[in-house]
Amino acid sequence: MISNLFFSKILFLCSLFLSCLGKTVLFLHDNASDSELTDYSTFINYLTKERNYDLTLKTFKDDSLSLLSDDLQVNKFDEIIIGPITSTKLKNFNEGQLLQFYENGGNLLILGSSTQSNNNPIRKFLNNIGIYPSPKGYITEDFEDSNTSDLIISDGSLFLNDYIFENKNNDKSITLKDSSSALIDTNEMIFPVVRQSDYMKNSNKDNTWSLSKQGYLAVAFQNLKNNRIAWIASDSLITNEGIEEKDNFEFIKEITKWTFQEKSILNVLGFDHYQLVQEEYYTLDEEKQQNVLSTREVKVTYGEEPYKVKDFVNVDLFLQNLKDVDNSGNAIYEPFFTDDIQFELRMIDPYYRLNLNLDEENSTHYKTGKFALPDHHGVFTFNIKYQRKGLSYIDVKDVKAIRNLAHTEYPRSFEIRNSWVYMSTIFSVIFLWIVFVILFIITSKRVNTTIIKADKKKN
Amino acid sequence: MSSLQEQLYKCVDSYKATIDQNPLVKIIDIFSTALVGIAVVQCLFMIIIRDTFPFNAFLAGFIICVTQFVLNVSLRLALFKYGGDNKVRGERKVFVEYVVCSLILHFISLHFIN
Repeated sequence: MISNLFFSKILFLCSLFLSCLGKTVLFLHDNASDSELTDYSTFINYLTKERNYDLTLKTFKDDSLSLLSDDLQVNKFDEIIIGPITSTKLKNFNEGQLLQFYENGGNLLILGSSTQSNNNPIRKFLNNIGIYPSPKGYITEDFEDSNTSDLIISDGSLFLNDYIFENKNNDKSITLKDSSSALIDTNEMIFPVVRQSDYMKNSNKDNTWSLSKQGYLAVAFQNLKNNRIAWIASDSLITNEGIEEKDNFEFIKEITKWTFQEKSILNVLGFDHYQLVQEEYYTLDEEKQQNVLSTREVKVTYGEEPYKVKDFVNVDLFLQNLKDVDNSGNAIYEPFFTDDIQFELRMIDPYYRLNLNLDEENSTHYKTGKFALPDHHGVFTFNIKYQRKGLSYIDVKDVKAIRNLAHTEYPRSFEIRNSWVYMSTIFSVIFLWIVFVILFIITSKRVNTTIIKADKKKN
Repeated sequence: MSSLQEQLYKCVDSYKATIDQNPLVKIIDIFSTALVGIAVVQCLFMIIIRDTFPFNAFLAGFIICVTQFVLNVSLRLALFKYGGDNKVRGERKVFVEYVVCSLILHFISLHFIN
């Protein structure tokens, strides 16, 4: 009875805890007249009801707005969504806070707009990381279409990152209204998600900001700690009107999931390496009724037997990809298929770079297969580094010493067929020497006496 | 003035006279020539297979030939007098030294080849 009660209490506490586990998300906006953001209600409903986020709405000018704890080391929110900003100077909000929030492990989804002010903390923050949104009043237009400021993006080749939003079959399209556009830095951590089509131009009356392929309508950024930022050129994607058009809702869902680390996260389940040793063993042959000697390959870990030069080893990596997180917070994983993960064995220089192959029986298991360690002793690093745009980065390593052979571990000369020649020469020299010594003793007696006699006579 | 050819013939004749006179010189020289031959065979073998592995075995085989040759030459010089050499050597002592050195050489070679 007591244990039952206790158990139910624990269950209750657990369920309470789980309900509180939903991510805390801050929606920062610049809409003082409509602080409940009724214009974005569909998107906000999606966040609160479907995704179970603990959503807080605040304007930039709110006095109680603070992203960080007092010592700046802890974020008060898990993620931030930033709506278009039209103000310029803000008292209690600056790009430094945003950068610190990002450095602490927070993720940011930033929505741009063609009406954004030219001098604001969000723009400074974006410029800091290498994303340059077009200035105020610059609108992206599509000259392929009659209604130029309504952009319809449907060509699969304009969606540049399959890990964020996939449109390989050209069956999805998104629309943007009064959109801005961004130029991006050459930084490897920035990667575009949607680019302008060849007929699009971002300009105002006098100047052009970006022409056709130069400009991007959605850009993502991921730092080495896998914290993510996504920037979208227009907030028309999340307005009640715009979100229902075409596949906008799906696009914004996918980009939100990606930004909030709910998809395209590679999860390393294990990284392992071991030696493969040929072992002899006896089996009973039923027909002949006797033991037969046969060999098999046995795994020996580094702990059991440290590696030495030329040993055969295998490296394993167990990997899965985060596909989605359901609304109760459970991660759903899928197998990750690729053929470009490389293993590197290095001591300053790489001695090996091997592509990992997927195991046929286990879809999470990648392996190098059997390979011989280099004929060089020293402290080696077993390393797998996999960094792809849109996926979280993998960098697993293990530093291990590979020892040289002890003097007893080299093969004896009679086991090496080449050295039989040299061995036979040594024995033939010794044999000839023995024959020589015998001959010398036999012949020298006579000769010696004569020479000595001759010497004595002379003296 | 005698030509080079004459000098050579003279040289060969003188050598023949020496070895005919002294059969000990003859066997030392035969042994030494055999050692040179064995060393050449090893080198050729290594060149033909284009591989130095196992190099320690090659070194052991080659060095035993060279060193045995050197010991032979030492023995030859110590036993027989040339020119105005008036030193008196105990032949027995010289021979025992030669045998001891050779045994050490064989021992080392067999160890080095592993």
